[in-house]
Order: sequence, then structure tokens, then C-alpha cells
Amino acid sequence: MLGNKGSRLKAVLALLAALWLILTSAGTAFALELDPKLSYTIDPRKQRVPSPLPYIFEKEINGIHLPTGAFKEPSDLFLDHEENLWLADTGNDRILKFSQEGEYLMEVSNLSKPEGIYVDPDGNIFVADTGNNRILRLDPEGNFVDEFFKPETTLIPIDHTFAPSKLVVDRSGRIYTLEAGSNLGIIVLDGEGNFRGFFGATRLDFSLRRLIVSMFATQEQRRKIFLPQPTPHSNLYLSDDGFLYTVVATAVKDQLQKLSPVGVNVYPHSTSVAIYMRFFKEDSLKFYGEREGAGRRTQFPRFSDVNVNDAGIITVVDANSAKVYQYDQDGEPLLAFGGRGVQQGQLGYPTSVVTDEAGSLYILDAIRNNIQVYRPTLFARLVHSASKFYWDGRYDEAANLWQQVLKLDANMYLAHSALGKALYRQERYQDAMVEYFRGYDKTEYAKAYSEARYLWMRANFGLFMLYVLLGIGAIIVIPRGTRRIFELGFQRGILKQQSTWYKVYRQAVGVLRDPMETFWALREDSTWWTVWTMLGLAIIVRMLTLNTVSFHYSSIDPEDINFVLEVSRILVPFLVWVIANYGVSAIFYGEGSPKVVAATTAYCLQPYIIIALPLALVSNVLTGDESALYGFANTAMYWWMGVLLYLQVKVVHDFEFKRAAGVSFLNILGMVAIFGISALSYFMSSRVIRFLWEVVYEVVTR
Amino acid sequence: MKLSLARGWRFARFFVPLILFLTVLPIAPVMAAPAYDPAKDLGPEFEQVSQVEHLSLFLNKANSQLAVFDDRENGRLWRSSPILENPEAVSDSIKARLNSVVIVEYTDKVRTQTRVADIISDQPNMTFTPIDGGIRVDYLFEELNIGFTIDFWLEDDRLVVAVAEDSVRETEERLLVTLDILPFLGAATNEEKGYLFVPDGPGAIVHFRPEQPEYRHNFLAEVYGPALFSFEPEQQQGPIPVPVFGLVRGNSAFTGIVTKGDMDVNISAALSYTALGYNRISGQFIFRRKAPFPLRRASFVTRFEQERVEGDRELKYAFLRGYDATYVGMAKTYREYLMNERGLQRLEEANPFLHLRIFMAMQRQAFPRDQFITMTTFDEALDMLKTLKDERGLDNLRVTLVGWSQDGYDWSLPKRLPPEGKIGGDEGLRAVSNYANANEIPLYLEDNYLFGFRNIDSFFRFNPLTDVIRGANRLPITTNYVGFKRKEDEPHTEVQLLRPEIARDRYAANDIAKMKDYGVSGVEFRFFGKVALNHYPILFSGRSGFTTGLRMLGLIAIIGIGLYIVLIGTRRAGDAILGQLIGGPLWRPIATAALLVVLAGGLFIEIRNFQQPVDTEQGGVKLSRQEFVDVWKDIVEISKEETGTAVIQGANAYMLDTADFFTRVPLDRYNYVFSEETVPFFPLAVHGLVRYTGDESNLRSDRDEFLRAIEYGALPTFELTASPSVLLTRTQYNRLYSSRFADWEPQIVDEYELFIRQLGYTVNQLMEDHRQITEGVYETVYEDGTRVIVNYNTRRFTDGDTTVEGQNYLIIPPRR
Repeated sequence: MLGNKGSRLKAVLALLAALWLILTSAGTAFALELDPKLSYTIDPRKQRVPSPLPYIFEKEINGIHLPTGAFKEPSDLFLDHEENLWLADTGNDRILKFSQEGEYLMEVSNLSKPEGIYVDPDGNIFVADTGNNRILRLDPEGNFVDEFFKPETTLIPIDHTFAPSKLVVDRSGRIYTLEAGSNLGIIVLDGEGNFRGFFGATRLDFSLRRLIVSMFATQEQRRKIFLPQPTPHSNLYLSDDGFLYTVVATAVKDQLQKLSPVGVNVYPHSTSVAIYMRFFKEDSLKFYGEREGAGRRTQFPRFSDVNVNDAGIITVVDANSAKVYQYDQDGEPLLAFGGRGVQQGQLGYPTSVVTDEAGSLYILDAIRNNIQVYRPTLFARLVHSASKFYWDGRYDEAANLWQQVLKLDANMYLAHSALGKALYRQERYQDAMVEYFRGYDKTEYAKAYSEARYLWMRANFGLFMLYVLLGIGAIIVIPRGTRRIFELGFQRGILKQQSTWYKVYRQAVGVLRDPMETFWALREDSTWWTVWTMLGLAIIVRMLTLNTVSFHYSSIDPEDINFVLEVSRILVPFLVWVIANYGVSAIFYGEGSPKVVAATTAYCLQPYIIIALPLALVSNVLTGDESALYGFANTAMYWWMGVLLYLQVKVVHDFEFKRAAGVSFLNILGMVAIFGISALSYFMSSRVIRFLWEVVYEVVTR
Repeated sequence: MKLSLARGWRFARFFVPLILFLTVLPIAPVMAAPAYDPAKDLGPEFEQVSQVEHLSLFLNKANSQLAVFDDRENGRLWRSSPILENPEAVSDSIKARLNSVVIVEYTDKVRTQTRVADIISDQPNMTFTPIDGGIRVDYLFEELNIGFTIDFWLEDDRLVVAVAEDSVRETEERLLVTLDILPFLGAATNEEKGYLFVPDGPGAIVHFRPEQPEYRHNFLAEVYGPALFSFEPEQQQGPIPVPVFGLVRGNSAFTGIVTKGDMDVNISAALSYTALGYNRISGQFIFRRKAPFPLRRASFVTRFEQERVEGDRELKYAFLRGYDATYVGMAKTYREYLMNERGLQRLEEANPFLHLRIFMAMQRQAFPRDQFITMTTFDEALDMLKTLKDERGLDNLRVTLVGWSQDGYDWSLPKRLPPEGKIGGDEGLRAVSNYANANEIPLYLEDNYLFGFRNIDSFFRFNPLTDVIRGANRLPITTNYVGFKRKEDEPHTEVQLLRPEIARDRYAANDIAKMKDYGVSGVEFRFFGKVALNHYPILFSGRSGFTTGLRMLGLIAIIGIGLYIVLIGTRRAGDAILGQLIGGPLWRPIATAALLVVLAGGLFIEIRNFQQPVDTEQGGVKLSRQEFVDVWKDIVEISKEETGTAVIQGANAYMLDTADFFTRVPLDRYNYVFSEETVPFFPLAVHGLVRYTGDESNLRSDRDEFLRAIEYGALPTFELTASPSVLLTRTQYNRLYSSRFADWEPQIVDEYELFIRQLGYTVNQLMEDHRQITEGVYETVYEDGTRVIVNYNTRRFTDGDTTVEGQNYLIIPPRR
């Protein structure tokens, strides 16, 4: 019978596990309709939206059927002014030159692991001969001209081995070079190889620890203590107008930078405020590329190269996800495609990218050891030229092109906002609003709305005044109407004077008019119904508010609203306040019972119940400029609630002024403590619970 | 010369042998003389087993090596193992591998690692028994305790290789994983001209060259896509729609068709740069698949499944000579097979049409209520049809309505009827079908018999424990909604997959009959031609539904009583705070009501479970891929019985004999990197037997895709909406990024003109030939001599009096 018992236990466990399987989702996920042609745009909410393919795989150059033989771990690609391809074939210690069609033209050998190549407009060749720790300068035929070793400067540590990896040369002959994985940043050399300084150093994040260390530690100590280093650039591109575009491989923000000739990043980047804000708002940092996976398994992009075409479109390759991203001159994501895989149109490990005049992309793949040539589709060409016109400020021509883009891809949100801009300029504000809405551009939407509202008001001033009067009327009528309803109820005998509803109503009005007096009265005469009513109303108001607040004032989209979360946003603070209030004031000989505390706290929600919904309604007629008004009303509402809560503490527990303030403060501390403790116990118990479930799971599934 | 060859089939038929003869003539002396005696070449260890028509089969009893002699055109000897030119340079283990007719992959009890056994190094016992037309070889690997019998015989000019299910023997210690039979048949070195054919998408070839990049060295892909699942969508395979492979060597070729067990076979190929040193291809039979088995929650270990994939396995090799020794010849062989053995028939009439998918409506998650997005109402769909038919005069249309079901696209699955009221409901659909019937436009409803949504609604429709498909690890297989993750870390809407029997018995049987009442001509089945899965029943084995239900009820009661004790008990204990908090006047009735609801719910579930037809077990029986597909075929049959026709999405070969119209057939060139060149094997094999469409014209990225549709003989298809497609942007169906009818109407008229009016007559014709004229220029030849030349280059192509503009096509009708 023992065996039977065991099996019964197992059966019960199986059932528990089965039930749990229903409750949680423990299935094995499976992608059914997968499209290898995965290409998309990233919308302002950082969501992927499918798009037509921007580039089509055309051919590959792999050297296999050429005299050069196969490439080995190639790491850099360069397209010179005559549209010839230069390839740093690192694993084979050589530089190769191909025509655009893939014909082999020339080879530079006697190198050691060269990782970078640059050819200036005159045809002079600069090679980052990494293994030989030098920069090599050759004439157009490949003959030796000059070589530069480690520059002599005190700014580079003596024990540092100079291993240049990538380089560009500007018009005045200055060489900008960087080392792979080193923290020196971009080193500038003049034409003779003399050190000219560092360029565009990546700024360190502020850190309290580092501040303390640098304040108190001696020079010697500082060296010993681990200090975080600035993140290194991984590649650079010099545009014809003298801007240096760089990518940073290992950072989690600002990975794409456009450095002006004086070394300032002119690109949208994370401000120091944003760096603080990231603790509260994850998206506050300016982030390029995409994070993949979640939690500990998050994979960050590792940009390996950047290129800018004539239209100012920035192409970036991400070696980690093997994706290609394109950005416009505002740093807004335009297109993304590729991804790691074994099908054509996917990539292995992209290390470099160049674009030619026709718009084709040449992507160097270090796993497949080839150059893959991608031809732009009509869609990509349209997006690029539209973006160029837009950037040049020729909005109307751009709008025309954006319209064509939208015909091919209605998901292209940038096209919508650009079109919105054109419509705005044509003073078609209503249409502009629609396009801005589709483009998810709240700022511009608010602007267009303000114009539209102005026009409407001018045309319909009478109507406007009528609405204003109606609003004022409503403010007057609603309280009176409510009272009248009760009165009628009494007259007809439907309601009784002693009924709970009426009592709650009377007390609510009392709290608004004379909180001290009412709270005092509530000590003797409070009911749980207050709590249910007020919480219920607050939740209803919250839900209505979320759905009535206007697009440009909303902070959350309807599809992202989580009912449970929104309800708990009201319930949890309420509960915690009540518990903290009761507990703390009990220590200080407060006089309120739990019921009284709960009921009075519930009445303190009234400002929210009364103001939030009308405010949300009003937000629909407010423009962006009037956000101060909106913010003021919002803040006032919370202040009012704060004052009520303070009075509640004071009156209910019969404290004097100072003690009430102190207790209120302690309340807040108590709330923090409660949150902390519940979080702690949640984490601890969830571990235990998870462990138990895992045991069950193992028993069942093994 | 080249052009004269292609000037018409009749013309070509005359010239081809001549030209071939002329080209072969100079090398003829090098090859065997007409009286070539294969026995001499083979040596005394080979003995002739049988001879059928042009083929004779030889066997070496020492190691069961085979050789097939094809006596056509001076003869060609196909050996099961290559003759090593330089045996000293090759290591013994590789030599052993190369000389084996069978390579066995097996695993042990732990089921994580595999090892390989072959005939030479492991010396199995071999017993030979003559059978009709061939020989039966019984292999027994004594050390491994693995045994199986392989029959080799000649039949209708083909070499047939078969492993019977009941001949496979194994113990728990050593488990079979794969069986690669004739892995080196015709294996070639790079000195020879030739290529491998793999059925990658429409088909692809890889040439033998002195050198190929590394990613082109090996190829292993499961036919019809993976039966299990992969965690990484990126690691997923491209479509492999047919179980066919081939190898071309000079002017001869062979093609292998998996005729039995095609659901469980890999196409395995390698080029000569691997250690084995030969260009080879074979069909590798799968006996066990890898699956992630749970260790703990969210922690899996990949192991082979315990139970063996059962079923007979059979592979037929056809040998091709001369002009037929190309992928075209292979496709024709496969076509013959489809017609003779799978019962596919030629389309009697051309009957070309333009296929229109009309997307109706869907829901989008929102708050407080999900937002219903109407893209097209039935009235608007009717208007579209009227516009195209009456105003534009496009007579030959076929229409599929998508997202017509209750709550729009997919939302309420497995409930689908009645048609959504917000887009016109019953009346609306009837109006459309009346018009369609009156004008002889076939009208289909797209339907999905795979998905079941996990929400409160569907909880009472299907049982998420027993009615869903489970993998080898017994966990339900789920899928994210459409397959396009909006964000990497997005918790996707989870969909469970319904067991095919449930889909058939509970839904298809009732629903399709009802659909017929709406007057539609058929159902278009999503996934049916794309997905084939295994199902493993949930581990409740041995327990009836009754006990399971009772236990569930018990469990629910326990939870209910527990809650009751905790909550009420605390009150009795007089806890000040909690007691007061929950001491309201309605507390007790609410608690009682809640408990009653819980109990009633449990009872309801139990009663419901009783009413369900219980199969042999609660979670259904184990289904192999073949059985799974057979149940789906039943659903197709239901549709054909009720409404007359059925349409299949995707075109995996197992569905080819069930319908004559296939949509979303993989025709694009996004092949594996292994594939050097895309060839239209699939179109060559099935054109004229079935009708097919590729991707939607309005979602094309490039003109190349348009040209490809022409080259591959596909019918045009559009997926359209009446409202602007921007409304779908923030929905799960945003793959439809450009669909407004008004935008695409001119294009529809244009494509109708081309595909229907100009090319339509070829629809019921077999594709006779296909070739590359020059880089980027391809020619397709139909039975009656119609030639279609497509130029993918941007440059104009000129050859004699034939001129094709850049990125354009040319249709040359047959000469009368």
C-alpha cells in the first residue's frame, strides 16, 4: 500500500502542477509564421513595426574564385572616392583592393593583423597596421611613404602598447585613430605623426563613489582603486562636411555620436539629468539599437561600424544582433533589417559597412568571410530621399515623397510626422493633427492643436462662450443638483435621513467645507461604507481619467493600461497609509481607531475624485503651451490631498500642531518601511514558493 | 546557337539530342564504349542481383555495397561508395565512413550525445535474402544491439530502398537517432562538373567548384520544417516543401524521392571541403528528435525523445541521363511520381484567376474595452467586387475573406461563427456570397484550426490541459500571436494550439457545415500546408476523465475550504485589525457566494469533461506528424464534402493531393546561405497540376518579386482593405502595411491584364523547361512552346531579335 500512497502523492502533486500550468504559462514558445525577410521600423514607443524590405541581398564578394583566395577574419572596409573597395583582411595580414563589381585590383602585404584602412581623396593609403603597432602611409601605388609609431606624449602611459585599429584622415592631413578595446579614445596625430591630442572623449557618468574616491584618495590610492574607465569608441567615419561619426561598442547609451570639428557630440544624447532619471524612467537615456532579451539575459547592441551616405542617412551595423540600423540626421531610427541566421539576407557577424553612390550597402561579415552587397529597394530609396529633403528643410517636396512612402508602408511613423509638418505649414491643422497622431508625435500634435483651436475659436466664438458658460453652470449645478436629488428622495420617501448613503454624502461635503470640524465629528460617527464608496469612486475616476485625457497629455496608451496595476495604484498607497497611520499614531497615543482612520483617509481622496476627471476633460482643450496650467491644477490637487491628510492625522488622533507634523512625517517613513518589508518578504517568500514549485515540477515532469 | 535551342519546344526537341550528341561526341571515347560491361569495372566481389529495364543492381556481400548500372547512353555506373583515388591519403575512420552503405547515429540512456556507427568499423552481422527484383539485407550491430532490415530493389527503372517498421530492433541502452542510407551514392569530387539539388524553398542548387565558402560546406534541414520547436526564432529553418533531393554529375544525375516516412527525414548534404572529401547528398531518416526537457521551471536540457518515431520508410532513386540530367529533369521525375503514385491530376482547364484576400476586421488590446477595428465591412467587400467585376471587367476572380469571424481576426478562436456583426454579420456575408455565386466568383473564408486563445472566454470552450498540442516534453506548445515580436522582451499574447482531433470533431465538423449555409464555396486553411507537428498526450495516462475530474473538484474544494478557514478563522480569533477590516455587513454572504461559485465552477468543469468525447486517454493519443496531418486532411475533406472545395495555405508536399489551389507558396529567394542559386523546382513539378500564388503583390518590396511571380508561373494575389492600412499599425496584424483598395486598384487591373489575359492560358500547362540564359535572365518554357523570358538586371538584354528591357519580361507565344 505504500507504493499506492506514493503514487497518490505524485498524483496530487501532478494535479497541483497541472493547475499551476493553467495559471501560469509554462509552454514552450514556438514561432509559427516566421519571415526571414524580417525588416521593420522602430516607432517612438520603441516597438517594432514591420516594413517592406529596405535592402535586398544581391551578391557576395568572397575572394574564393579570385587570385586572392578566401578572406580570413576581415575587419574593415573602405570605399574610396573612385568607388573602389578596400578591405583590411586581418587574418591574412594584407589589404586588398577591389572594384565595385568585385574585381581584384591590388594587394598591400607585409603587414601584421591590419584592422583599419583609409584612402584619402588623392589616393594616399593609410593602414592601421595593428600587429606592427604603427600607422603606415603608402602612395597610391602602394609604395612605402612613411610610418608612425606610438606618439610621444605624457598623456599616454609609458607602458601602453600602441595598437591602432581604425583611422580616418581629414582634409588638413590630421589622422584620427583609435585602438580596439582601449580607453584612450580617439587620438589625433598630425601629418608627421606628432601627437595633437585626444578627441571627443566619452564622458564618464557621475558616480558618488568616484567623487568620494577622487576627493579623499591620494594619487597612489587612486591608481590602486579600480576606477571605471570611459567607454571606448569602436569605429569612426569622417563625412565630407568635416563631422566625425563614431560608434561606441560597449556602452548602454549614446552609442552613436556625431562629433563636430571641435569634438562635441552634436547628436541627441543623454544629459546628466537623464542619467539620474534612469533610476526612475528606464527610457530616459538616449539609446541606439535595441536591447534583446530581458532581465539578466539582456543583450545590448555592439555597434561595430558606422557609415553616412550622401543623403545623410546613417547606417550602423550591430555585431551582436547582426542587424543593420539606419538613422536619419536627427538620430531617429528609420529602418532595420538583417539579424543573425543562415538564410540569405541575414548576417553572421558584421564588422564593417560602406555605402556607394548608388545606395548599395557593402557589409563585411567576419564569420562568413565575405562582403555582402545589398541593393536598396524602391522603399529604401524613397525613405532616404524623403529624409534628405526633410533634413534640408524642403518640407513640401519631402511631403510628396513621404506620401509615396506611406503608400508602400503605412506603418512608417516618421513619414506621418513629416507629413504632419507639411500639412501644418499649409495650415491644415486638423489634418496635421491626424498625421501627428499617427506619427505618435505628441509635441507637434499639441502645436497643431493649438493652431486648430485658435481657428475654431475665431470661427465659433459664440459657441465657445456657450461652452464656457455651460462649464460654469455645471460647476454650480452639480453640487446643488446632488443635494436636490437627496431632497427629492426624502420627499418621496425613497431615502431616509438616517441612511448611510446620505451620511457619507454629508460627511464628504463636510470634509471639503470644514475638514477640521468634520474629521472631529467622524471620530464618533464613521462607517466602513465610506471606505468602499470613496475607493470605488477613486478607481472609477482613475479609469475614466485614463480614457479621457487627451493624446498630448496622456502618459500611457490605452493598449498598455493594466487594470490590476491601475487599481493597485490607488489601493496600495491607501492601505499602506492607513496601516502606517494607525500603527505610528498608536505609538504616540493617538486616539483614532482603525475604522476612523480608514474612513477619514478615504475622505482625503476626494480632491482626486473631484478634480482628476474634469482636469482630464479640460486637457482635451488645452494646448502644449498651457501645460503649466494643467500641471498647476494637478499639483494643487495633490497639495490639497496632502493638507487634508495632515489635518486628518491632527484631528483624528487629537495631536497638536507640531506633533501632527512629526507623526505625518513618521507616517511617510512608516509607509516606506512597509513597502520595504513587503518587498523583502515578497522576494524571500517568492524564492521559497518558487523552490517548492520547482520541486513539484520536477516530481511531475521527470 | 543558344537561342535557336530555345526557340520553341518542338524545335528544341529536334535539336537537343543532336546538340547533346555533338557535345558528347568528343568525350565519348573517354567514356565507356557502347558495350561497356559494368561487371569488369566492379570486380569479382560484386555480383548482379537483378535487372529491370535499363537498370541492373549489383551487390558486394562483403560489405553490402551496391552499384546500379544505367545502360542508357553508353551506360553509367552509380556506386554506393566512391572509389578513392588516393586511399593512402585518407584516414581509416573516414575510409570506413565512405565505404558504408548505412550510417547509424545512436544515443545512449542519457539521450544527450550521439555516436555514429558504420558498416566497416562496426562490422554488423549481415544476412542476405533475395527478394523480388533485389535483395534484403538484415543488419545487426551486435555490440550496440541495434538491428534493422533494408530492402534494395529495382522497380520501374528506379532503385527503391525501404526500411520496414517491424524490422527495427533496439534496446534501452542504445537508441537509434538517425539512419542515413546510401549516404555516398554517386558522391563526386570537384573535378567533375555538376551540382547538388536541395529543396530549399522553390528549390536551390550548389555547384561543385574548386572552392566554396565555409558556410556552404554542410546542409542539414528537416523536410516540411521542424516538427519540434526552437526557442530562437532566428534559428528556424526556411521552408523545405518537398522531400526530394538530387545530384548532377556531368551528363547524368540521380534524384531521390522520399516516398514513405517523408515526415521524418532530413535532407543531408555536404560539399567536398569537409573531412569526407566528397560532394554528397542523401535523405537521413529520423528516429528520434531532440527536444528541450524541463529540469526545473524555465530551465531545460536538450535531449532526444524517449519514444521512437514509428513508420515504414522508403526512398526511391531515379536515374537521369543526358538532357534530363538537370533540376528540370528531377522536377519532371517528381511530377511523374506525383501524378502516378500520389494521384495528382492535370488541371483540365486553364481557368486562371486573380486571387483577392480581403481583410475584414480585428481587435486591438485597449482599455477598458478592446478596440474593434473595422478594415472592410461586407458591404465594402461587395463594392470592391462590383468595382472589379462590373466596372473593370475582371471576370476571373477568386476571393478569400480574412478576419470575418466573430470578434474579427483570430480573436475568439476556437469560436468563429457567426460572422462578426459589426462588419455586417450574417446578412452581410450572405449578400457577398449571393453576389459571388451569381457571378461565379468562388468565395472562400480563411480559417484557422490550430489556434486556441487562452482567455476567460475560451476557458469554457476548450480545456487547456487536455485539448492542446504538447511537445515531447509534455508541455503545451504555445506560439506568440502573429510571430512578429513588437519588442524583444514583450510578453506576447499566448496562443495554444488545438489538437487536430479536437479541431476536427468539435469545431470543423459543425462549423464548416454552417459556413456552407452562408453560401461560400470553401475554406482557406491557414497553416495546413506549412506546419506539421507531433503531439504527445499529457501524462495522465491510466486515469479516466472521471477520476481526473474528481481530483480537480477535490483540489478546488480544498482550496476553497482553506480560504474559508484562513479568513473566517482569523475573525473568530478576534484579530483586531483584520477582523474589523473584513467585518462589513455583507462579508459573510459574499464569502459564501464566492465559495459556492468556486464549487459550482469545479462542478461545471467536471460535467463538461464528462460530456466531452474521451478518446482513449484524456489528452488524446500520441500523434506522429503523419497522423497529425492525416487528421488535418480529414478537415480538408469535410470542407470538400460540404462546400466542394478547399484552399490550402503553404504547399508542403503532403497536402498537394488534397486541393488544387495553394496560397502563399514559398517562391522567394531567401534561401539558406548553403544554396548558391535558386531554381524553380517546385513550380516545374506542380505547374499544371495545381494552381498557386506566392506572396501578396501589395506587400512586395521590389520589382524582383513581381518578375519572379512571372518566371515561376504564380497567379497574382492581393490582400486588401477598404480603410487605410494605417489603422492596423498598432495592431498585431501590422504586417499588412499597405492594403487600401483605392491605392491598389490600378495595379490589380494591370496584373490582371498580364497574368490572366496574357499568361492565363498557361495555367493548366506543364512547365517544360527552365534555364538561365545569362546572368539575371531566365527563361521558362511551357508545354505548348510559350516562352517567358524574365530579365532581373537593370540593363536591357538582347539576343538576336529577342530584346527584354531591364527589370522586365517578355512573353513569346508559340509559333503556330
